[in-house]
Amino acid sequence: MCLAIPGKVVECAADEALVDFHGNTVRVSTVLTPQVRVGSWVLVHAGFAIAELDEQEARETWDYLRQALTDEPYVGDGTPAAPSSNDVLPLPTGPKAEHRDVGGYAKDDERGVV
Amino acid sequence: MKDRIAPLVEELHHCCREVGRRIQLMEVCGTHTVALFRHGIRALLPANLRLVSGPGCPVCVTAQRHIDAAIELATQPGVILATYGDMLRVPGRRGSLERVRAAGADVRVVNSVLTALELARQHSARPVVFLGVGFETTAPATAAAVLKAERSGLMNFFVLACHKLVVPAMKALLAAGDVPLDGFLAPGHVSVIIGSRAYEPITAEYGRAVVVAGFEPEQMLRGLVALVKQVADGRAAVENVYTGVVSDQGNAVALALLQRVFIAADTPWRELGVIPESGLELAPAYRRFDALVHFGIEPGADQEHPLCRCGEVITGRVEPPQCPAFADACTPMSPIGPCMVSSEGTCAAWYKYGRGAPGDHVRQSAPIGEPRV
Repeated sequence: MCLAIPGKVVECAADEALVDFHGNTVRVSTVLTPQVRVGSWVLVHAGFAIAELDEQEARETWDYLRQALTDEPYVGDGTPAAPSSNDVLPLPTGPKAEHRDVGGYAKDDERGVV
Repeated sequence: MKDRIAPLVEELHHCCREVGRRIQLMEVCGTHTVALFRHGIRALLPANLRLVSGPGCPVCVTAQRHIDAAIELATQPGVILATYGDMLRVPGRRGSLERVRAAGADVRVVNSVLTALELARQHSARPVVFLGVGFETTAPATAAAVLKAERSGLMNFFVLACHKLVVPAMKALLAAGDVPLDGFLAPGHVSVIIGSRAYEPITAEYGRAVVVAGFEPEQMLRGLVALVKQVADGRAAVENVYTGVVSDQGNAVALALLQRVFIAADTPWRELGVIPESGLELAPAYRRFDALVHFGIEPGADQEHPLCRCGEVITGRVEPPQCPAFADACTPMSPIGPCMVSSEGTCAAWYKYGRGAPGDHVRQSAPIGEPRV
């Protein structure tokens, strides 16, 4: 439902940013969070960054989501879990190979957003 | 994690013992409902603490008349209907969007309203209607898209505005007065937009505790502990345990956008009827984007399935197993009601996690009002 996902801004333009989620980069709108800069952590919902958040909070949520999505053990303190094939921490510093533009409907899937 | 969770569970038990009587709390948000099940938190609750689900799943609360209107719009000549995937299978009177898509309607699933805008650009000769559902987390995106469409002169982009507001629904629930509630676990990401102070009417006018929490197990437990502490102390205040994300005032830019593009309107909720000023309709200046106005469609009456008790489920009046259709005529594969359609609907969560033996996944709490079916 109203679940938003944290990511890290790796590029910033006028009203959009390239945000890194676990190694996938997605272009999102920043009209609701004009203050974000490269390096900011943002909470993204339905293609929009809806809030800037502190890094500790972002890492804890990432940790939780990784567990929720992969059934890996939840660590819960925001520190990197034991390395695994799905390990995504520490964070990448630049755009990764996979770049998905939310403007391309063909790439949208039928999982829920709201 | 155990090091941090176990003391919270212990504290929760201690606080509940202190209260001594039965405590009933509502998690408003569907994401909380699922997360509480998924992490086994319901099984850890003290015997006198009961959690009920609230009207916080956008799929579940969208009125059937709006689903019917979406289906009617999707079947207009040339129309592309863009929707979040959650809405595809919600049953209306004439089937679902998925059904009409199978019959040839052009229904596209999008993860962002921006994709719908892009469709309108690509198909300038065809009307593109975006099905705007969701609470305050999602509505600012729709508002931003409407402004963007206006700026870029897109004349073929329309919105079927079904956005809902959380606080009016909470108030309506309390005003009805038949569901005993001590407090609310308030939705984390709606609160990102509206801010924790938006819940002050709940504490001031209705004397119920409100705690804003995130979706991690530790967050939800902290929220429950804070709620039970308030009950123990006889207090009713807004507290926020999600401070790294949620502020008192919310997202001012998003709120300003909502205020500019939408006006609060009396809105029908699925099986709950019309709740005063509980939804968003396009403000007069943006009415040309209103799909219902453009196509001259008047939403009809709601006619829900006679077996479906979703309305009672999302107001904490019954638990899903009390519905005769639950896990029988109504399953995730062939849902009758929206709470079984949405992956975060209360019935779907109970179906997935809550059907084990007592104490297996979920403590079987005593039903309210009537025997369990």
